[in-house]
Amino acid sequence: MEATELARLQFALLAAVHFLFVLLTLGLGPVVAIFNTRWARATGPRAVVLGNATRFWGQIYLVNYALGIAAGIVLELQFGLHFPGLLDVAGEVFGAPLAVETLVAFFLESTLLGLWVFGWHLFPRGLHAAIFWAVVLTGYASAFAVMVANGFLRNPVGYVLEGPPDAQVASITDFGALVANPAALVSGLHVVGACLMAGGFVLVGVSAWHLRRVGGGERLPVSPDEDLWRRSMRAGIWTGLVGVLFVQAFGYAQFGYIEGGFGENAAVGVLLEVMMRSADLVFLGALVLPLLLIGGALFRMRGRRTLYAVLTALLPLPFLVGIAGWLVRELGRQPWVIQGVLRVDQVTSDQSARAVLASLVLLAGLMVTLAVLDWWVLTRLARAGTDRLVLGAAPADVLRDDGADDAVLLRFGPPQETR
Amino acid sequence: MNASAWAVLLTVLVTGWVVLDGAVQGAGATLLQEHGQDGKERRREPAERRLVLGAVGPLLLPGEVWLIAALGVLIGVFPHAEADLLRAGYPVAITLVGSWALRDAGIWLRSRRPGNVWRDVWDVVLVVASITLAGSWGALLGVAWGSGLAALALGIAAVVVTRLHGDAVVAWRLRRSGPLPVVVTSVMVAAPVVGTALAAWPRLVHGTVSEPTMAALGVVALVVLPVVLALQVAAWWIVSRPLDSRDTLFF
Repeated sequence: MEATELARLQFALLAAVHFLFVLLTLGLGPVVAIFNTRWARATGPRAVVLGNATRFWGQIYLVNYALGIAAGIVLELQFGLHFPGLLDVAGEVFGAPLAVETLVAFFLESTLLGLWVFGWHLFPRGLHAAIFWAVVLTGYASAFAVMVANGFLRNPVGYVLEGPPDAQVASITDFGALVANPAALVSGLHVVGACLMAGGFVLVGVSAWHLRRVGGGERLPVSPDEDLWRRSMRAGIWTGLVGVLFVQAFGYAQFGYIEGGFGENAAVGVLLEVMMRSADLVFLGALVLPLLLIGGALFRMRGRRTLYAVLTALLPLPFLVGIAGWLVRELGRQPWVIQGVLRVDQVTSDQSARAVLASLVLLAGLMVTLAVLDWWVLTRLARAGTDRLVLGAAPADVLRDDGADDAVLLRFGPPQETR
Repeated sequence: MNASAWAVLLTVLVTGWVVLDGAVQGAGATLLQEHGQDGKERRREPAERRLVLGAVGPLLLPGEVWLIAALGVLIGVFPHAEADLLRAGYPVAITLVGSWALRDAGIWLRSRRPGNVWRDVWDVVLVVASITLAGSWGALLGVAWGSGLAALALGIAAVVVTRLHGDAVVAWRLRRSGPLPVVVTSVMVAAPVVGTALAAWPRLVHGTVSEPTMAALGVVALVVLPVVLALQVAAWWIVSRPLDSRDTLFF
C-alpha cells in the first residue's frame, strides 16, 4: 500500500475507535445528569436508589470517557502527522473550529468532570449535580465544534482560496456560514440522535440483563436494586426514542445538501442501505417499547425474560450502525479531503510508507487493544451492578479493600455517610 | 489578540500542562518504589499506591487538557508550526501520544477489577508509560531546538524533574513536607518549556493564520479562559487540602 492509503487507514481506525467512545459519552451524559439531579433532591429510600443509579451509570460514563480522551488525543495529532497539507492549505478554516473545541469546550468539560469526580464529598449535592450538567453541555458543544470542522470538509462554505495556483491558502470570509453549514448543523443533530440511541440501548440492555435475574414480576419492585434497573430501563427507552426520532428526521434532512452524491466507492451504497434499514427497525421497536411501560407491563408480562435476553443481545447494534454511518460520511467524500477543493493525496505527508506502516501498527494496534480491554472492563462493571461501586465511595472503604493497615484507616476515619 | 499574545498563551498552556500533568507523571513513575527515610528503596504496598494516586488524582483530568488546549492553539493559530514540528519529530510525537494513552489506561483501569495480578500488571505499565511520556515530551522540546543532542538532554532532564515534582506534590498532600518543594519543582519542570518558547519565538510568531481569524479566536479565548481558570483554581483547591476522608480514591 502507498503511504496515502496507510495514512487513511490509520486515521479511519483511530477515528472509529474514538467515535465509539463518543457515542456513549454523549448518549449516557444526560441520563446521568438527570439521575444526579433527582438524587440531589431525594430523601429516604428513594435517595439510596437514585444515589446508586448516579454512581453506577457515572462510573460507566467515566471508564468510557477515560479511553475516549486518550483516543481523541491520538486522533488530534493525526492531522499534523499525516495530513500536514490540510493544515498548510486550510489550517485557518479547518483549524479554527478545532481550536475552539479544545480551547473552550473540551478544556471546560474535562476540568468540570475532574471536579465532579473528586469533589464528590466536597461540594453541596445541588452544586455537584449542576457541575455534571455543565459537563454534558460542554461535551455537546465540543461535539458540535468538531462537526463544524468536519462539515467544512464535506460541504465547504464561508471561505475563499487565495494565492498562487500551487500555494493556495484558504481563509474564512463568513463565520456565520461556517457555523450554520447544514453539513455541521443538520448532520450534528443526526449524530446527537445516534448518540442518544446508543445511550438508550446501553441503558436498556444492561437493565434487561439485571432484571432477568432480579425482576420479580410484581407490581412494585421488590428490592432497591430492582427499582434501580426498572428506572434505568425506563430512562433508556425514552432516551432511545428521542434518539431514533432525531436520527430519522435529521438523517433524511441531510440529503438536502449532499448534491455531489456519495463518491465512487461501491461500499457506501451498501452501508447506507444497512444503516437506513436498521434505523427503521429501531424506530419500530422504539414505538412499541414505551407502550409496554403502561401499567408496568414490561416488568410483569409473561415471556418478559425472553424479551430481556433479546434487548441485551441487541446492545452492540447502535454502535455498529454508528460506525456504518461514519464510514458513509467519510468514504462518500473520497477522493476529496475537502469536497471538490483538495484531494487527500495532495495533502499527505512525505513520510515513507514504511514509517506510516510502523506508526499504524503501533498506534492503531495500541488503541484497538486498549479499547477492547476497556469494553471488557465496562462489561464486567455493568454485570457487577451496584456491588462495590468506587465512584463516590468513602476512602476508608476503598483502602480497607486494598489491605490498608489501621494507622492509615484511622487517618481516614470511619466510613461516613455522604451527607 | 495578535501573534505575540497567542504565543504567550501557548506558552502558558504548555507550562500549565508540565506543572499539573508533570505531577501525575512523576507520581506514576515512582508508583512502585519509595525512597525510604533510611535512604533505601522500598516497594510500595497496594494501599500506599492508592494513596499516591489519590494525592495526584484530582490533577489528571484538569491537567492533561492543558496540552490538548495547546494543541488546539497550534492547529488554530500556528498550523504551520505544528506541521513543521511533527514533520521533524515524527517518531517522538508517535511515542508521546502512545505513552500518553497507555498512562491514562493504566491509571483508569488498574482499580477496575479485583485481584492483584490485574493491578500489578497495570502498575508496571503505568510506571513505564509515565517515564516514556515525560521523556518523549522533553525530546519533543529538543526537536523544537532543532538538535538531536538537545532532544536527548531535555528528554533525560524531563524524566528526572517530573519524578522530583511528583514526589514533592505527593509528600505535600500527605503533609509529610510543606508546599515549598512543590514551588521549586514546579519551576524546574516549567523552565525547559519557557526556554524553548523563547528560543522558538521568532519562528513561531512568523507563521500564524490571518489577523481577522486570530482576532476572532482571541475574543472566544478571552471570554472563556477566565471561566476555565476559575474552575482550574477549584481543582487546585481540592489538591491543596491534605488527603482526608472527603477525598475520592477512584484510581
